[in-house]
Amino acid sequence: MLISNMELIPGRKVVEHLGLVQGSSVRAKHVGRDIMASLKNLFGGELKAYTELLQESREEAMQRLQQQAEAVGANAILNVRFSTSSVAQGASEIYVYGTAVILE
Amino acid sequence: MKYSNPQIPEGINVSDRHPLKELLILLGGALVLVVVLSWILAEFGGRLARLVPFEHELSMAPDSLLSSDAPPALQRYLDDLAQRLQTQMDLPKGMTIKLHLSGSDTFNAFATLGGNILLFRGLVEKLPNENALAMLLAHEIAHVQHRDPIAGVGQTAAVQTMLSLLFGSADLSILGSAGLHTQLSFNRDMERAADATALAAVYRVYGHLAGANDLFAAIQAERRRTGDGELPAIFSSHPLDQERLDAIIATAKANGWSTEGSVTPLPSQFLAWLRQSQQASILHDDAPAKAIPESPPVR
Repeated sequence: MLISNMELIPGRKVVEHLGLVQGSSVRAKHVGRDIMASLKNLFGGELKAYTELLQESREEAMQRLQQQAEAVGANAILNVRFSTSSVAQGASEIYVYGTAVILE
Repeated sequence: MKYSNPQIPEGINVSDRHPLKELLILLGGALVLVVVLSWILAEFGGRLARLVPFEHELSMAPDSLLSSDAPPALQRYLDDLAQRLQTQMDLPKGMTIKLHLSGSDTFNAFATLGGNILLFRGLVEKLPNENALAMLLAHEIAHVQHRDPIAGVGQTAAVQTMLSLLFGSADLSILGSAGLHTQLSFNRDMERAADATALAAVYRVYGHLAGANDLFAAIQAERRRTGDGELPAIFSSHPLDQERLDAIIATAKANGWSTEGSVTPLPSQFLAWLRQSQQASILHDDAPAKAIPESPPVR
């Protein structure tokens, strides 16, 4: 599966457009991570626990995106974009979407 | 180029797990977490609190306990009985016991901070002989000797701090009481230890254990009379009465202590005071009861 955020792949021809595919994941942080983060606030530095949390979230969203593309028989997803929103206090959504296509 | 929008199968972006199943798993997990944390913190808080020197504990004692309703002669008798038990109990140096007798008809007695022991007429009037009274006193003195009141304060402080950290100041009462029950089981261990120490002291004072079990028999009888049956063991801070009676027999057997012997009757002045106090409470039934401090009752 080719996943790209380019609109067109140079040298390849799009033979079929299969529509929008999307993946999302909403995750909450846990108490342990909050305590670590509040301690980090004293000394500064990267909040590794949160970086890891969002990384996992993105991976999960990408997996779902790919699953949807496979389900409609695509071999590539083009023009992929990420977006995020805060759905509740302490929980955030990672949303990824793109266009499923069949490349020549 | 061909354009189409095929139907995407449902369920890729949603979990197929039933939300109730997830709720059960999460609640179970939270419960286990709270119980385990409470247990560890109560153990830790209790141990730490026992290190507080007794002299410091004295300054933490509630002031409202300073008076006693007993006439001087009766107070002397009680203090003397407590003294006889204490000499058999090897109290650490500097540890003092202060007895307070309340005329209230509450069926209770407890030891609290600073070596203060509060006895209520409601309980002592049910005791048939001095041996049972000695068992009660020795049990409370044993709590003081084991530093149980201060340990209780330490346990509560540690567990409360954890709960307010986890759930904020608005605590979830279900989860909160899960923590409380873990604490009660600590108290049950304290009760058993206090019973054992008290039995040894009563044996050394009287040479036998006759009458000691009358204390628990009286408690059992009172429960039957008021109809509030024994709570299931897990909700009660005290071992079940029958278990305590059995423990007396077992301890006596193991140490070769006799449970037969002549019991010492209560002195006449004691009985006279009880009668007087009973009458006073009937006469002044609607008079406000003497303020009883809301300290953690360790019976």
